[in-house]
Amino acid sequence: MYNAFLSLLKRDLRLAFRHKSEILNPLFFFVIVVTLFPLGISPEKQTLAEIGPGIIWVAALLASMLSLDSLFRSDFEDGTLELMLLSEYPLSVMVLAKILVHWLITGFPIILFSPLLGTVMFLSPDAIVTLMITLLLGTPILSLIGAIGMALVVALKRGGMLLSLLVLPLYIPVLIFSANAVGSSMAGLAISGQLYFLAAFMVFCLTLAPIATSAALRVSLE
Amino acid sequence: MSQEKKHQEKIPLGQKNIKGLFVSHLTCERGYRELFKDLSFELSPGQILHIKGENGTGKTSLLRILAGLALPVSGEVSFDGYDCRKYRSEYNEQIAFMGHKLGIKLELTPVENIRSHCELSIPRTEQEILDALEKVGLYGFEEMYCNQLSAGQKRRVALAQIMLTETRLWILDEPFTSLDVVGIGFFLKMIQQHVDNNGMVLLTTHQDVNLENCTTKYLQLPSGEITI
Repeated sequence: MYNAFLSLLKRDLRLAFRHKSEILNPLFFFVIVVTLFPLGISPEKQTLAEIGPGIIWVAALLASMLSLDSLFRSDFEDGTLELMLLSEYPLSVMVLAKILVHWLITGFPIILFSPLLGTVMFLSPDAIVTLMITLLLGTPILSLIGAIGMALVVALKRGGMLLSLLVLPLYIPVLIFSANAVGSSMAGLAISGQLYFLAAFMVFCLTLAPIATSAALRVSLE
Repeated sequence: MSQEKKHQEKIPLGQKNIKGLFVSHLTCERGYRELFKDLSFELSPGQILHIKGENGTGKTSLLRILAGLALPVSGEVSFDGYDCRKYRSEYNEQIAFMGHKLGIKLELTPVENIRSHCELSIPRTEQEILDALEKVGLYGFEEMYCNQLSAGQKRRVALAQIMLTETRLWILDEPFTSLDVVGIGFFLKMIQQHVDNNGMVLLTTHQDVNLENCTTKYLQLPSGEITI
């Protein structure tokens, strides 16, 4: 079972590195969306520092959601998903490997780039650290919840809009607690409550999302 | 069909000393249209079941139900006396499936494709994979990406993949599509070997499959009539 997990992890990472756009596009999207706001609203330090956490988080959320297609779409189209379903190992384990790859190629680069964007938005050094922690706890949740939605719409020809309708409402708690944590840390308030919530939510999703995703995949492929 | 059905009824599902695939009273619908009804047959080790029927009579749907990918409206499928739906993982261990979509990643080489597929069941060494590729006539193409291979060559990769699975029941949906005469020859030889080793094959094809020393059953859809 461990072998199947590792094998799928290796295969998908190899595929991602052969298709560099899968890694670079969400990242560029994230950076560009964030930089649009100073241009559109105001480049003033105070305004940007105030809206910064929310903007960075909304951009991360959209970048993660728009890249969900890479999770199951190509596997569905070339039939590897069927073969995964017919493997003797639990589908949820294999799904977890795919979700982990999705996080590694979209969530992780976003975390690495976030200090730069935090600086652009005039966040304080403390707030930038908090931003990175919230992204570390929050982006896996985005991939996990997104996988359920993607599994449900994978067989539909134009599932993109439906996917965002399914997934975005579920992202709201993550957005609220994360942006609030970064804002509080700017104001010098305690943030442990928000972080604990995010951590708990992540564990919750980590436990249940793979099971829900595999059930959704079985339904979609029928 | 009536004879088959009587025979089927004699063997209760869940009896453990029986070998092979048992299908009883299977009904399938697609979009409110009934494809076939009350389909019953059995497939014992060393036998081939060739499913025949015009386009749209439910050949692919039947194979997908038998592989556990789709649900029938009613009916049961059991393997060695076990209900396939209840013992999914055990059943999956016994079957190899080749559908219209081959399950080949275009951005990977044949070797990488086969390796990662085998690691979902029995991991294979590099040498075993290369041998299998040589057997299906892909010597020299191991390091090419699959998107540079022709449709027939991709099918040969899938063929090598099935060869290495060591499963007892092969479910093949139009396996000879886009293969040339030589490729079909390879495939028939593999099927022959598999059946000689007490394997079972379920396939749909418009081609004639004539193999030596083995029982080939024909299932006609949608009537469900079985001839040998």
